[in-house]
Amino acid sequence: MTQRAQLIQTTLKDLVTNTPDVEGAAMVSADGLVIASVLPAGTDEDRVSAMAAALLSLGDRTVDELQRGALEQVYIKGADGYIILMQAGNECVLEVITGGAAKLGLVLLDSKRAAQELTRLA
Amino acid sequence: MSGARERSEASGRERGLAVRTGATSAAKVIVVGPGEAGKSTLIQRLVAGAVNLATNGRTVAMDHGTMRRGSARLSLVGVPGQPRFTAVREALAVGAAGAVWVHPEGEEVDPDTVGLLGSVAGPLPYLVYVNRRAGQPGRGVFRAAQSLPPPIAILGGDLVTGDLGDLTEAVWALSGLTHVDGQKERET
Repeated sequence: MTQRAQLIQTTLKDLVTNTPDVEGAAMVSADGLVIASVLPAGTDEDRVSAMAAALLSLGDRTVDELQRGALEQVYIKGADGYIILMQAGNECVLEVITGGAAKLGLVLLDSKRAAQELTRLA
Repeated sequence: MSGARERSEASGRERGLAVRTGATSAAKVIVVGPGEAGKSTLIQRLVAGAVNLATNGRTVAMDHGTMRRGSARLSLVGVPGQPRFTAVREALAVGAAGAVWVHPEGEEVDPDTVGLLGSVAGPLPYLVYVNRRAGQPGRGVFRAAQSLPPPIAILGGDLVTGDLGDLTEAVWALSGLTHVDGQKERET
């Protein structure tokens, strides 16, 4: 593994390990191919990566259509948790999944920091 | 991104997590064509168990299946065919290495597909699969759109019951991926 790949993976692991209720994270290219992931075992990372890139792209298009400024995040809430998507630079997407009781403020703060770090590494 | 796929890391295992980096070689091929051309069926035939995100039988989001050969992974992404889903099609086309155009035999060339392959996503290399539906008489062959470069291949058959012929090989060729370790093909 290259040093850069290792640093990307370390950033994702730190986010999952250090932020309460974050249960997984992945970095995905804008075309929906996984770059690195720390996801619950059994997750089909190829599939969720393709979905994440498409969702962020659609979110970008939708805020533009509805004139809501630049896209910051896409949230999806399920009964058992959240999925948060945000841009990591122009070329990548950070996907973060949490448990249902997650404190979103902290999750967002740490996710933004991770996205900044991943942007630097990408 | 280089690096072998890894599933290690003690801390990951303790939490039931899989820590991985992307495949050494990966690419995306989109499957395009008008509504009800057979795009989802084609993906299901190529990748058993591929996911179809549909409402009332119409694909509204995407199809997705992964073709694997050794360490190479090819994401096959089907786009919605109905004209109102232009934004979804464009989002899914980003970064595609090529396209499979499913064309229902006997119908006119779909202008939305021509637009997607030509001006929005392309020009993308593409191949055409002419879907000969059961019970439908053949009425001539696919007529390439003049605004596009010619397809790399034109294949055809009945997508539901027919033999896919060289389609699998043609899709791999379209992706530009080469598989060097000669492992047996596996699809998920």
